[in-house]
Amino acid sequence: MTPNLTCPHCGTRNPPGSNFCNRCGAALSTDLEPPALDPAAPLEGLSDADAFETIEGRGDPRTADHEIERARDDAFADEWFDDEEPVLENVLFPDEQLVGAGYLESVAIAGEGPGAGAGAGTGAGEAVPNFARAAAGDGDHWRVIRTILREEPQLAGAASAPASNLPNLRPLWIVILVLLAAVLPFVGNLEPPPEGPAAAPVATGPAPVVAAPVRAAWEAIDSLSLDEAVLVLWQYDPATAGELDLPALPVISHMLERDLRSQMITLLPTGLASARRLYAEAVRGLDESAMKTVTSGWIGTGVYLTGGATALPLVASQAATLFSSAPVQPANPRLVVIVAARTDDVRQWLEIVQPVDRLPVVAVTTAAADPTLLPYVQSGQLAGLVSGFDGAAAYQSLRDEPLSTTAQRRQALVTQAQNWGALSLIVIALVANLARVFWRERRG
Amino acid sequence: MADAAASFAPLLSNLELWVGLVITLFTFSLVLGDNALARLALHLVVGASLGYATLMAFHYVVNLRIFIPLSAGQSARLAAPLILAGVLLAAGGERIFSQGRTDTRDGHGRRTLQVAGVVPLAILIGVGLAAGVAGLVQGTLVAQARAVVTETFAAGRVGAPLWSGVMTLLLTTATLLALTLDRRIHVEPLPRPLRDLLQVWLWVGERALWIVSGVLLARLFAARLPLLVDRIDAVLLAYQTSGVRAWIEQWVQTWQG
Repeated sequence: MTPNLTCPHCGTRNPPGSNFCNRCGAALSTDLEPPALDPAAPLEGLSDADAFETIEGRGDPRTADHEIERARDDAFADEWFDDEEPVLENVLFPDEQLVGAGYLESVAIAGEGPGAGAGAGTGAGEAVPNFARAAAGDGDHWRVIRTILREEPQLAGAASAPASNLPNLRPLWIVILVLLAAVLPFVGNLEPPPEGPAAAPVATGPAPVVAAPVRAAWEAIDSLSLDEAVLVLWQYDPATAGELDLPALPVISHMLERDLRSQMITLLPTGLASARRLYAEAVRGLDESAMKTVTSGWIGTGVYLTGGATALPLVASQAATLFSSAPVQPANPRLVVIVAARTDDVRQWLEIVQPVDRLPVVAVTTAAADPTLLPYVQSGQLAGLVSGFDGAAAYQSLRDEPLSTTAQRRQALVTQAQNWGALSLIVIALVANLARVFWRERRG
Repeated sequence: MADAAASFAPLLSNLELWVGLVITLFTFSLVLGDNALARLALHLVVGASLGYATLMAFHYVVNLRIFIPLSAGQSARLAAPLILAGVLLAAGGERIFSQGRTDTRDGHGRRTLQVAGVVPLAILIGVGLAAGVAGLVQGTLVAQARAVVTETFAAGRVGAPLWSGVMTLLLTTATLLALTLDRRIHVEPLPRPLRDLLQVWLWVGERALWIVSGVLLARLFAARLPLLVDRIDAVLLAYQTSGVRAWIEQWVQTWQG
């Protein structure tokens, strides 16, 4: 039977005499079709070609493309480079269509390069000398060719990742571990809290350690006189409210207690709505004596600036004019408080605005932004930093006024969850390293 | 009718939470593959966000910074910005609406509009870049370098501060080198002692990058996990305290007869 040289799988035209496609390894001749395999059969003990067919036949979504590609490559290499039946020999020399076709192209690109093996050429291009020597029975070159064909095609000069024989960390295990870490904080903690706006602090273990940047933030706000103005850059929206509500709440509550006037600026369309919601929540958490004074703390109107960071030079040079339409003419601010979900929002302020207005800056951010902002604390550009739920708990411990019972419970829960997250990461790192060590030992 | 409305009161009291939960579940169903519910959720979220952003832009920019000043007779001050904005809108609109049209006559008016549109665009990009680059130099590069040098080599610095400063300098420079130098192109042609020194420096920089990536990822994970826990808690709490639990139990009892 005359084989069809156009691959039915990928459409590649193959040289005469080909039994398998040069590009994808699919069988070109129906005479060579293997017997049907049981898709449910285990892969152990099967040849690479049979394993490939089995994986493909399962239609299992867990068998990712990588696995199929690998099995396909192995099947292709086994069939083509079987030491007892060198099929390649039949197609290497008959004509010159071979070079640059399919998988053999990778030999020309990523092999020993142009000029390798010069002098043994056959007129079939630069890659052929390798094959010629291989076909002549050079065992080392067979191994080189097999290795090259088993890898993904690489461009010359491109960095190639070292081949790893380590076991893959199954996504299923990662999902299970994360879900476990998410569920564990609820064990014994499902009862709703008693009603009440504020109560004595809920016992949540030892008092949080107050880091120096958090204490500095508290002191920067607490040192302001009553009724002084604070410029607030509000850079988070509902999408990141879950991460920033808790860290921002004690800081804003503290500002309201001190009756500081907030001059609100945001570069996000939904920023002002988020700010109003959190200020309202902070007011609800304060007792009545404080509420008599907080009415002047929120100036009632903020400013949304379009243009992102491009608008910041305007803030630096003409901050007062931004609030010209406010019902109460704002005083000159003494402090800047940045409540931001991203490091960039804080950094851009420190780079563009602070060198001009020279005002001290306190940042309230997520835990993820913390490591990249600490250098600015050390350089003195940030007067204080409150980050993450642990930073919020530390800031709250410095205040005289307790949070509401609900807020306290929420803070305890997320702090516990953060600890679980850190613990699960340690477990993942430990297990992965142990697996690496023992896997190496097992492989000798 | 009133009884039926009253029976849904527990659900209505926390409507935003339940709607949010349903939309979250719809979006999460993308894990199982593309489907109509996930698309509906995405359309709702994107549409609502864009609608709100448009409203805010109109209120705070178009109304507050254009209409009100114009009505107050400040047209002279706004002339240049308005002209530039108009040109940019016209040029951008022309590019948008000409897409896909078979009529591609390149008339004089169209070319003029395209050239004129470059002016406000250049101002926008130029100002943004200038502010960003100048800020980067004055707010990060110079300030951070000065802080590190001052901290490290201040008079009387010994022990931990000196060690910390030296490590900061070493790791910073090593990381910069690792990000900019290519071993094969830049390092290997160099004479032996310099090549070995750079190899070690690059080795340190690469390890520093690995460790920093790990720390950032770990901090990110530790920050996102509480977020998931917090959301689950909010739903469970609302389920217990808003009367939804009692409402469901009542419906189950009614259904069971």
